[in-house]
Amino acid sequence: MPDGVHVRVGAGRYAFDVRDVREVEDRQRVTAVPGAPAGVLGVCNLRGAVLPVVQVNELLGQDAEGGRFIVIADVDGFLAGVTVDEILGVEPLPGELEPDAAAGVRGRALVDGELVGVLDTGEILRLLADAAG
Amino acid sequence: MDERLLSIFRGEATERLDRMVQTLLAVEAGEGDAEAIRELFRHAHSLKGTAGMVGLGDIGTVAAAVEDVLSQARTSGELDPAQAGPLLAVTDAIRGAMEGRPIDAPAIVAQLRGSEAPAEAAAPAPEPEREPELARTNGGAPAARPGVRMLRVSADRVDDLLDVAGQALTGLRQWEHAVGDDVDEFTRDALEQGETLMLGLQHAVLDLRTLPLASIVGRLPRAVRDIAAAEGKEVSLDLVGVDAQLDRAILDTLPDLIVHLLRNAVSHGIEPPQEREAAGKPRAGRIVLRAETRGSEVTLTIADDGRGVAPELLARAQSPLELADLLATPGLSTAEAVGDLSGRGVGLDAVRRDLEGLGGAMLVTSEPGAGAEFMLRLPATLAVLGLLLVERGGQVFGLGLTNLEEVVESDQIIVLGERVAVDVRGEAIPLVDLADVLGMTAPRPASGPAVIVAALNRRVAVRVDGLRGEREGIVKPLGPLLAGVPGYVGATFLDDGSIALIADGRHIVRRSTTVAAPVLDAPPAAPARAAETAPKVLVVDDQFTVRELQRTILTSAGYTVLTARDGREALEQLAQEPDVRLVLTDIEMPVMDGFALLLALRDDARWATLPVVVVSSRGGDDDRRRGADAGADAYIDKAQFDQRTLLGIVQRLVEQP
Repeated sequence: MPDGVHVRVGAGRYAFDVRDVREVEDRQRVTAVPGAPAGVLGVCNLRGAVLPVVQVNELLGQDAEGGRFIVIADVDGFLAGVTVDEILGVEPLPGELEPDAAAGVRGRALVDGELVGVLDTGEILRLLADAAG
Repeated sequence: MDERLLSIFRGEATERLDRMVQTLLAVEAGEGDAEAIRELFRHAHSLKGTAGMVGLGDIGTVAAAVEDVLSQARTSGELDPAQAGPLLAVTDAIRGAMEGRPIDAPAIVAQLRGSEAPAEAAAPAPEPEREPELARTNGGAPAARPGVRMLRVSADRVDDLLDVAGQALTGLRQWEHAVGDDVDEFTRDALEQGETLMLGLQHAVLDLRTLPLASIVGRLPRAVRDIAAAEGKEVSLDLVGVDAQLDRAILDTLPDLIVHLLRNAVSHGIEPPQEREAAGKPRAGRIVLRAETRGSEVTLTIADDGRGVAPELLARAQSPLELADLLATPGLSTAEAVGDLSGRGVGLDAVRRDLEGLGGAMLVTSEPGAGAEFMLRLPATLAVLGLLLVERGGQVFGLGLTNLEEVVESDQIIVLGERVAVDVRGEAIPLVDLADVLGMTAPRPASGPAVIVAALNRRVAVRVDGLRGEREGIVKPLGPLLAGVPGYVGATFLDDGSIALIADGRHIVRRSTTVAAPVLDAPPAAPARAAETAPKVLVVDDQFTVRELQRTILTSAGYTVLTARDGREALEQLAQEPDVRLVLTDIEMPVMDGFALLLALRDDARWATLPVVVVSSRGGDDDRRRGADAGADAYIDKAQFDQRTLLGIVQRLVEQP
């Protein structure tokens, strides 16, 4: 099983497939983009590149918190920053997943006695892009 | 030599050279096959023949030497990629010779003979003695010198390089911003030097993205002659300044626009030979395509000496921009044209739309009976844009300078029933709030300037909280996630590393009809003076911000203000507006500087006593003296610029008997 980047969004624990993650950054200054769809906070300057920053708590049914960190997701060269509240570490992704109806979640499994939602980063970015028209 | 014959040869040779260059680049990349060699041989052979016919013996000799090299390659079935470089250099030398530059045929022939031998081909070719004359002298163009190998690099890789250069510059500026002013001299110098180097790097990479306009217009003189001949007319096209550099992406779109305008000029502008002779004009019509670089902008003018725009249309337009608006109104040519008399608008709406898609703008001037001039203003590159930074709701936005006309103050606001508009010299321009147009919520500004944005044949005044200066910014795309959000052409970085979104002028104009008019916090004030009696002042400065600052100050004091971007535009403005009472001019400007303008004015009886105030950042006594010698009436140092001084001087000079 590939590794996962385990994070906390609101009260929930989630994991990104490490192959979809380029790096993790402290939250940057975000410039709002008026007219952008809900979920897109704006853009930030990541070492000279313009990076869209998105918030997934609504999609995942979690309360919005500070979003202290940005997980820089890279799906087939499509880059976006996803805000999360806490970085829990890198651990293998659970092998067998229970199906989950939530959008952007591939499935769930118990890790260390806690339910972890394994994120479908590609779907999350697609959903946000579709919302943008 | 028969000029007509020569121009036919130039047309044909340019076409052949273009094809040879393409094939040679393929050969150099290792993609040259037997068919490529046959094709090259054919072109060289034809060039040799026709050059001899029109008496260009040197070109013939050089083409013959190229033919020899290719003849051997044809026999062996392969051309060494290392030979492509020297051959490319020869195509450039031939092109140069056609444009009247000297060509050293014996040196080129000797060099080609040398590179024929396979053993020598691999070694760097010797530098020819007269290399500077062979090299193309058009700045950053791909100057293929003999002995210098050309690289074929994909545009993506150049863009990657531009990206990295831009990042390095942004990083350095962020650092400079972070350390602030409180640093020792050594650190300050090191940072400044670093920035200079980084800017140099960025410009060097930008140069890689650009090509001379000549690369797309070479065949046009012949095309114009052919179109004209088909209509029983005689028309020549002259190309001026076509070494101006433009972004490849712009050069891809431009040919269609230029051909359209040329076609219009031939079909609707230039009269048939008999009509021209009856009007006392030369039998053959003349079109001039002229390119000029001004800072980050290239101005392309297509001027013909035909019958010009119909007087009844001219009478309806107050300015070159309005005339372009009028001619580009869809349906004008069918609804109002009387035959060819005013049919200059055929398809101009499409030309204008494509031009605005590139971030450009169109202006038209015409004199009935004497011709018409279409001026296209284009950004030299799509990667860097001249921007005016404005602030609204605590956020900084960029507006492309090519879409901007001027900045007006709130006291010119008028209410027309439900609509709120700005009075600009008698014209009511609808006013909108930038926040509404972009869909952001921000408290209404109590006062603030409005920027006049022109696009899609319309003008809109856009209210902002304040202006934050003018700059050249690298344009970054917002990426696929935000590509569907309308209203932006991209983003750029500010000195502190934060991002400013660049608003799309076309979106602003489109949205302006659906958003609510801004609420007024103060009743509009009456203009200080009636427009008819307001003295006219001409402001000349190449910087938009400076022009607008002076315009704002002078307008609020009751003057009517005209503007020009350089000395030449100033003279053009004066010719149209003879009742200008005073000129305010900068010194350092492109095309024609302030000193030259002063001398030209003092030399002309009409303007010899017109008051001229020099406003310059060159505060030195020398300049002050030079200005005074050239006939300036007053001198204002930009570093000590203040509103009251300016108004005091202007008032004194305008009201003097």
